[in-house]
Amino acid sequence: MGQPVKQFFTSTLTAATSQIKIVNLNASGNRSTNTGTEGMAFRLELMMPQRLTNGTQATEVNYQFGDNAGNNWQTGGIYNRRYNRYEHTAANQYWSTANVNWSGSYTYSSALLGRFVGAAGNAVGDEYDGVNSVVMDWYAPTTQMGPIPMNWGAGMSVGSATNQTTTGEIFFYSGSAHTTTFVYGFGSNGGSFILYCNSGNFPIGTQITMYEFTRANNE
Amino acid sequence: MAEETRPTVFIVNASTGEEITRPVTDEEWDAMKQSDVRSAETRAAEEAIEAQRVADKASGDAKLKALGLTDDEIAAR
Repeated sequence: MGQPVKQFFTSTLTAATSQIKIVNLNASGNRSTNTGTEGMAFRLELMMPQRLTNGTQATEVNYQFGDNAGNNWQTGGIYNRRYNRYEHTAANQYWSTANVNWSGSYTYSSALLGRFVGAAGNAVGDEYDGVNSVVMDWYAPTTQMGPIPMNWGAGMSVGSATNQTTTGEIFFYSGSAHTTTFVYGFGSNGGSFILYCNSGNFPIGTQITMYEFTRANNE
Repeated sequence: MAEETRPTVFIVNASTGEEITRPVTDEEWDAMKQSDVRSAETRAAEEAIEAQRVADKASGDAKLKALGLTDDEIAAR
């Protein structure tokens, strides 16, 4: 990623919803200022002021791309996910090397942004911490480039429901996609995405903000 | 999900700034249900992998202990 250019929208939920759709990005006139006519770079911030509504500790947030009008959602074959663990006990605090790998092989219809904290689940940090936030950077290639990972995101939650101060694990997921016409920088065939909360809702007050970034080195 | 739990969607038009909150359509709801099923399947598969890893670690630690390693030596690996 290069440097931020501008914030081009911010919206706040006034009702709990399970889906947030951003559409018409391609027609919005926002573009990366580096080379290429299709390539774009974005930063997405998703700030939740409290725990997910009706969620559980297994509640996941996914994203999925579609066309500019917010239709024709990508249904599979381009997304991947990575499970990263930090194993934590009183005597043993380290990034686990177990099970840290790509899960699946572009087999998902949507990419996992994170497994967040549900109303009935465990909080981030401690049981009283109800704030969730995600910052996700996307850089989208130009049409001249081959497939490269396009997007990364992460959420965090307590993995093991031990309710102990010295044991458990913290993990996050990151997702990637390789390019299709839907994800060429929200270009001619792209321009929308969904954030979807499985079996839960984004709470009132959830704020979603997007910034345009320059791209570095013609990426 | 039962009909009474039909969720809502919040839509932002990045070109016009228009914001809409409405119930999901039948098509959207079907897609969400399918997504829920896939997420549950994926999570179950990941948890099975993790459970096997934990079992393998416990088995390995027990064998190392039988060879005479201390708990500290095992933890330091």
